[in-house]
Amino acid sequence: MRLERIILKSFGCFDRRDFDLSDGVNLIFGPNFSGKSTLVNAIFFTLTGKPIAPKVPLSALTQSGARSGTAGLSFCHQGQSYQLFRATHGEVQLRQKENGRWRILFTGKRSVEADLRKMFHFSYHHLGAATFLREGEIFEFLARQPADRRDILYALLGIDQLMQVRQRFIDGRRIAKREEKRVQEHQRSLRVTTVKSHRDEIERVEAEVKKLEGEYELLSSQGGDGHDATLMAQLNQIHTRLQQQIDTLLQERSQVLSGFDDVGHLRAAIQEIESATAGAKELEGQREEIIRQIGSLTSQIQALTAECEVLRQLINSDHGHCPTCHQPVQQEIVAKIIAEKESTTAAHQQELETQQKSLDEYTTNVNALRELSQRHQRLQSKVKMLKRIEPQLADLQGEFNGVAERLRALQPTPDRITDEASDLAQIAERRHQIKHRIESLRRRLVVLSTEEAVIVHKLEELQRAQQQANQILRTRLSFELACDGVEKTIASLQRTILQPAEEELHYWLKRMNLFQFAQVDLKSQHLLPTLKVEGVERNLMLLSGSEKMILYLCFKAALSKTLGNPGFFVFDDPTLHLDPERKDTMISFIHQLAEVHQVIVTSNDPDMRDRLSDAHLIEMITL
Amino acid sequence: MPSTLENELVEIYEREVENLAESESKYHSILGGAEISAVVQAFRFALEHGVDKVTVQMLYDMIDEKSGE
Repeated sequence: MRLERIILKSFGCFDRRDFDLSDGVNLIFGPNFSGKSTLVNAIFFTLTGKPIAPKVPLSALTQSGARSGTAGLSFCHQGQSYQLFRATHGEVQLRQKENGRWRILFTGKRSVEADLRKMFHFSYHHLGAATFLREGEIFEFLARQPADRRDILYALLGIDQLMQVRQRFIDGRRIAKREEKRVQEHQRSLRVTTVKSHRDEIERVEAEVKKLEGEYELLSSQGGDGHDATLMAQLNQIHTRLQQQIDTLLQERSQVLSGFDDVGHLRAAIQEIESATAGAKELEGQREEIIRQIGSLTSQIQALTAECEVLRQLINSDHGHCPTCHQPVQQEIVAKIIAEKESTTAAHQQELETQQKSLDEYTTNVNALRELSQRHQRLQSKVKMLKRIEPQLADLQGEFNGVAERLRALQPTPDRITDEASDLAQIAERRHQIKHRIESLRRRLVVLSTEEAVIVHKLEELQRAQQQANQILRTRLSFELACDGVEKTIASLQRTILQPAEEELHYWLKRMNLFQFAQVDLKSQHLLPTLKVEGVERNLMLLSGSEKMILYLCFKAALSKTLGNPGFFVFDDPTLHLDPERKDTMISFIHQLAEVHQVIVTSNDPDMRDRLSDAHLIEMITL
Repeated sequence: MPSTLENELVEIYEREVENLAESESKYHSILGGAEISAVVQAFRFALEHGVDKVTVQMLYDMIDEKSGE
């Protein structure tokens, strides 16, 4: 940032004035009460919205009699031109020059410090500590309490913000501790009322009940309490059912065996049929041969009859000639041929009749065989059915006999009753005892199960509470870690900033030939330089005025180098209390700063004006 | 706060928190990566949104929610 012009309206002692600034050194020169410090104040107020001197009300910056005063700055930042105006009543306006015209970036009564900081990288503390030197500042700084200096340091490094974050973490840890305490109390209350689980006892009682039930069942099978009657009733039912099944099967068997005495008789009939039908195929073949012969004879007889008919027609024809060869027909020979053929036909006819009779016989026999074969198949199926029925019948009969035997055994006989009476009484007594014990154990099981459900619920609750406790412990430790982390970060940040600042301060002191062999420490006293010359600490308050001034300005240059400089320094009367030799040192210091930065200094010392003859002079006059 | 440091602040914090979590047994015996990550996230959240706008409850919820994951 390079400051180009200070614009004042009803500000301080000025009604309306503009002051141009240039690169390098700018010397605001004038006698006391000419308004030099007002210009320094105007620059600081414009940038920060606060007077440079603490505890000064804004109304004090307004020109006497005016309702509000305004200070403004024209400046150049990163190649762009800006104008920033602030009124003492709080209004602020920032403009940016675009294409030769001013465009308002923001205006109104509002806090713009965060926006300015973001755009131009400066802050109130930053400017106050490292860029501006106001009148009397050095003595105030040296006289500050350590806590005040710590606050300034924290503000400069942004540690104040970290402290606020740390406070949030501390509050979070407090909430976590409170929550942790609550969960621990809950856990304690659960532990006091929780007793040992009944699971083992329940399992033992269940096993005993099961054992007793088995014993009870066994005793029940030995009689007593009308058990025999029940069993007999069940057996009678089974007996009846088996009887019905057996009857059904016997009826079915009887139907299958209809006409036969038994299965053996049936099988003998089958064997007879099988032996009778053994030559059935041969008989069928012979019958087929006879049919074939009958067909052949019938064809021959038809052919001979047809030939005889032709020959007769030939004899009886008028022409007496053969219609084919046209030769004369010899009738006697033809008649002889006809007689022979008729004789042959008669023989064939006789044989045909014989064969026809044989065929009838064969046909009758074949049909009989076919009927036998069908009967054979029917008998075979009956055998199959009997094969199925017989084992079923045997099984049912066996079962039936068993049931009948048991029924007979259960029939109460006078002898049996007499023999077993005493045993049954004992069994009944034992059964009664077991039943009573089982009922007692079952009641105990109900109680135990209920209590166990409560215990399980409490154990689950205890488990949940333990999980909550673990969770809250992690949360509390996380907050502790967060707090410790902030403290470590603050320490690290101070090291990061102050160590280079110490080195830079040492560098400047060497350049200024002041305490060049001293050790400089900015950490131990919270930013206040601590000097150790040859191992002995030098009290800053006991330094000469010029030593204090140069040390303090070197300190500002060092801080500025470390924290970053907006681009300029503003020193209000830095040569106050300096002897001529120290003035040379100060002028050299200002020139060295001006090699990189714009430097604005005020002075009422004509010697300074002469020594800074190359500086841009802003001469003030007494108003 | 210098802008360069502002940018690096979260990184410094994360480094310091990780060092603490590694070096101190009370932390590394209980806390894991999820908790450390939540702490750093809460710190970043507070810086990014401004401490004035971030309540304790917000930070508590952020850390408690991630704790034990």
